[in-house]
Amino acid sequence: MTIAMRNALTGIKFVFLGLLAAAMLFPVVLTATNSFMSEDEIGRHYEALGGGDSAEAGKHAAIRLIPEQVSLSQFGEVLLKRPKFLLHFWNSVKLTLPIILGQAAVGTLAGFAFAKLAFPGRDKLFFVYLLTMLMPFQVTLVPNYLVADKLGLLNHYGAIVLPGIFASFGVFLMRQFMSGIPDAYLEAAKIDGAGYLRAFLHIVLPLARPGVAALILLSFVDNWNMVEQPILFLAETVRQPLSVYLANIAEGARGVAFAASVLYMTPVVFLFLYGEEHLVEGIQMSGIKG
Amino acid sequence: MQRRKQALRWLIGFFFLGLLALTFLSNTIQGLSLPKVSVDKPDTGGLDLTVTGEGFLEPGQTAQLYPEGDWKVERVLKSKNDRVKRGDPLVTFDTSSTERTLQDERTRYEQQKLQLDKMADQLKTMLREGDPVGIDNQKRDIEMQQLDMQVQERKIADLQKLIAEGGTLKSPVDGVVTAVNASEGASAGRGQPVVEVADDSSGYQFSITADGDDASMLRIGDAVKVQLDEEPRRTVEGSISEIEDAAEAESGNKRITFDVLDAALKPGLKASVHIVNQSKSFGMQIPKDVLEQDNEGYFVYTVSEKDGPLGTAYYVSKTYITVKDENGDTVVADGLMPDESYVTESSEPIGDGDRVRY
Repeated sequence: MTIAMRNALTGIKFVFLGLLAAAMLFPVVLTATNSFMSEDEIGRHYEALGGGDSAEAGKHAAIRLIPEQVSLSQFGEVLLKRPKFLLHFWNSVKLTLPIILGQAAVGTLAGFAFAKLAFPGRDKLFFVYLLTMLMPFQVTLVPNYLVADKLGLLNHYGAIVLPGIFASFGVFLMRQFMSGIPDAYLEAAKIDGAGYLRAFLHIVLPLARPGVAALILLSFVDNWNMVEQPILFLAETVRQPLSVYLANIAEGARGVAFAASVLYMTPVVFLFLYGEEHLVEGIQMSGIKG
Repeated sequence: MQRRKQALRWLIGFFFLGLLALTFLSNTIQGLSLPKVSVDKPDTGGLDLTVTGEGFLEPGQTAQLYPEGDWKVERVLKSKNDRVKRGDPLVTFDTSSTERTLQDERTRYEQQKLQLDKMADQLKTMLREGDPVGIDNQKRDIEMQQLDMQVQERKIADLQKLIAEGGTLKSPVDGVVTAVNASEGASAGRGQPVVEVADDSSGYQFSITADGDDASMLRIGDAVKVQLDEEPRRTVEGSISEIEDAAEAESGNKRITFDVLDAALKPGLKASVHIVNQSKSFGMQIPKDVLEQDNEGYFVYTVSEKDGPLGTAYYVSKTYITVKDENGDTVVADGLMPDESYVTESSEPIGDGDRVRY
């Protein structure tokens, strides 16, 4: 393979991946740019998508990336005139935060046990635990509902938070990550007189920091975006998180949907950028690759 | 890398703090764009029907005194508004013309007496001569003469009485002189009263005009307190004697007449009444100016609260009411709860279901 061929190949790869990335990013960019359009402009561009009569066959939405006039009115509308948006935003926070914290606690402790403690039936138990992860949400939906009903948790955040905390993914991720930590470290700690708790807190946990960070990020994205559980478990609309509310905000006022979406994405984007290197590192070291 | 993280940390912090601040301010921001209303709670009870007014006392009955003869007024003893007692002299007349007539009549009586004496003498002569026909005639003539003289006597007595009594016009009643139509020296005509005296015993009256709705609870015969504009002010008992439509009938106003029976009253005295009645209908008292009307009737806007996601929100809704009674500015109505607040004022026009602040 000559250098020229290699260069050409790199070029082709670059172009191909660039196009792919552009395609992936396009909706995000579109949402971001459209959030600066005025209500009017949005209405005109997306007339064809509106419900009912205006949705004529063969008519497509006019996709524009550059606003005719940059306007913050959508943001103003969402943040100032629709206190419901804020309410649902905090609902999301209220749902997501306990799940993340709980999952981090449960995941690290259980992961430590599964990775570093030898007890009979450990691997079998872990396999059973994994089974729940392999099943899609829809499969466990009915049992989940019945259990929540029995516990009197329906229409209560507990119905979402508790299963979220004990989700097997966190345990799985932490176990994989901690398996990568050499047993020698623990043995050394043991020789120096450290018990399990000390070993966990002072040896394993600091070493597993990237993994915990990755878990928090993934869990945040996962739970920030959940839609099915709230719809299923929370009857009152005022308790619904932003993810559910977002689907309804566009009713009658299409314009604000973009701004609301941008605001909705913001925490996720910020957190991702913040923990980007941990995420990559964490996932790499846990052995879950590609 | 570290700087980027630092910046991101700040951004995340700002984002959440910003949303937190907006959440904190959300009700305030919302409130600024909502119409502001003032509310009031209705009072329970009947309607206060207040009748207030003042008028001037007029006598219920006036004695009109005429002169007994065509005399000149000698002296006027009382003037208008003087209080008089029964028997008080009011006016004296110059009765000299009547006295002259009396003397003439007396003279005529004397003449008739002389004539009678003369006829008696003639009768004596006839008895002596024995003329039976002449005697009978003469007896009858004497009798007639005696009758004439009796008539003349009565005439004189009448005249004497006239002079004695008519010479001084006396008040027949306790009361107040309301009119004097006499000047000293001028003759008083027979056709018109010389003096008018308001009769205390007949009482006094005054009238006021009141709103028909307000007056609806008044009944003829109701006792009322009447304030008299005197120094010192005093209050006397009165009663309603008449309720009739006021002159300008279309206004719905009523003219109410009160009787006041009390000693020491004067015509023209200012009298006022303030009567407060409770209407029979019982309900919520609502000022008239908050009432609105549409096809379905009268309604007021009431405020209800709903516990919204971010605190309590207030909404107005139409509440239809049944007007049971009304006076000048208030109605009594059904259809409202005692603790329901109704809107008295709003900064902008409001409609059914609008969210408001207050």
